[in-house]
Amino acid sequence: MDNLIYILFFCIVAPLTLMLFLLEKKSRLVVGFMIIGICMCIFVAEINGLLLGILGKNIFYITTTVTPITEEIVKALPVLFFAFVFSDKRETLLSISMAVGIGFAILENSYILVSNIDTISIGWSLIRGFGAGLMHGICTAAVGYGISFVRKRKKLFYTGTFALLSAAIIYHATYNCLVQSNFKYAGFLLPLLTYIPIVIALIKRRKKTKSE
Amino acid sequence: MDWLTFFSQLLPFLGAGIGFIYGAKKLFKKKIALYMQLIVCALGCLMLGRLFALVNLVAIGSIPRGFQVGLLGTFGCFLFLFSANFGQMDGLVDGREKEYRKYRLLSLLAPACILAIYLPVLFADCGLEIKIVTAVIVFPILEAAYYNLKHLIMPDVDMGILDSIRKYNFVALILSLVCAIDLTLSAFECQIGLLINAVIMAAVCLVLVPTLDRGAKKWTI
Repeated sequence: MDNLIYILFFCIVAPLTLMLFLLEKKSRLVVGFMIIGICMCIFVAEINGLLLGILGKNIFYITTTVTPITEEIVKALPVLFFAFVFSDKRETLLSISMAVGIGFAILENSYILVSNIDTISIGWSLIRGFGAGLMHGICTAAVGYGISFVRKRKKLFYTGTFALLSAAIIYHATYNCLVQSNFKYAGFLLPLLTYIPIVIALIKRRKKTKSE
Repeated sequence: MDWLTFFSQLLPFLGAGIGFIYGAKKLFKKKIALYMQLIVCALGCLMLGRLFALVNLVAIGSIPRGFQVGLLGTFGCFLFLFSANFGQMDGLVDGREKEYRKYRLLSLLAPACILAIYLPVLFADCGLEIKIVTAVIVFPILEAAYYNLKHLIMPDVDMGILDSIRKYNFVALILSLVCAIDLTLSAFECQIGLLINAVIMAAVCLVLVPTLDRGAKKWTI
């Protein structure tokens, strides 16, 4: 089935789009950007397919060197647009960039699931679900943090965003490399080991601020 | 797996990793200056770059020659260091006055020195791809080194901001030199040199954040 990714795309995006009209402003923004993330995934799938043909390298090289770059750049574009045109408020940018990443991961995971339906297992779903979902979210949120400087500190924005983009690309590539090696479970742990300390530290900080 | 290559990646990974965790712990405990946050991110980026190389070594037994994503670690690290000095600090310490012109000119010595270290790569027998990639990576190193030397030698006029971080600027300048040497030695595939350089890089990464932390305690930006 050649159009599998488009079939999945419509199946996921259509109900989410219909739900948009019923949501409150803040939730609508997050779900809207999740849909944008899904659209970005389909866009990147076409770009990666083209690059695979042009570069003529093996899949391992493409997934550890080329796709992290294209995916991180494409995921950052809607966040950058939002920051330029609407708002550069850090909290908003962080939540919408995380939503773009998660939306991206939803379609990517669904596509890989359907394409490899005979070989997948519960272990695979845990790795993809927690690992790839979080990894995409964390990477885009990191870039979103840099983009929040777009108006306040222009000098920091240009170089800082590129630096964060570099960090996100390496993180993504490391994850891709791990999940294709014999250390699949280390790939699963990498995003969790990044996410859990951040969440704990943020909760602790919130509690400290409240008690003060 | 080549153990020399493994250790020459592992040591900077550990040095940058420990420095990053030390800085991140400080960052989450209390609100620290944005300048210091950027330096902590720089070490994080360097650590990630080395982690990618290590994962490649363990997973497929070698690091790809030419462009590989791990090189973005050095690129991102120096973009962060450059952002910190250019975006955060330079506006405070240099009002573009004529009397400071000599310091600005003298600071060009740092990028000149790094260029001198890097230039042999252009004549090395390592292929065009490596030459182009290393030329792109050396660019933010040049910029960061310029500001590190500038902030090392400029007289302090405002509240001792510069005086308190001179030691940090010195350490960061050494990191620039060490990373430039690393690029050159990689192009020549000099494994022993890379290992010795890795030991120095690890040590520099270890002391970078604590040195800055000691100075930054005196101010908040």
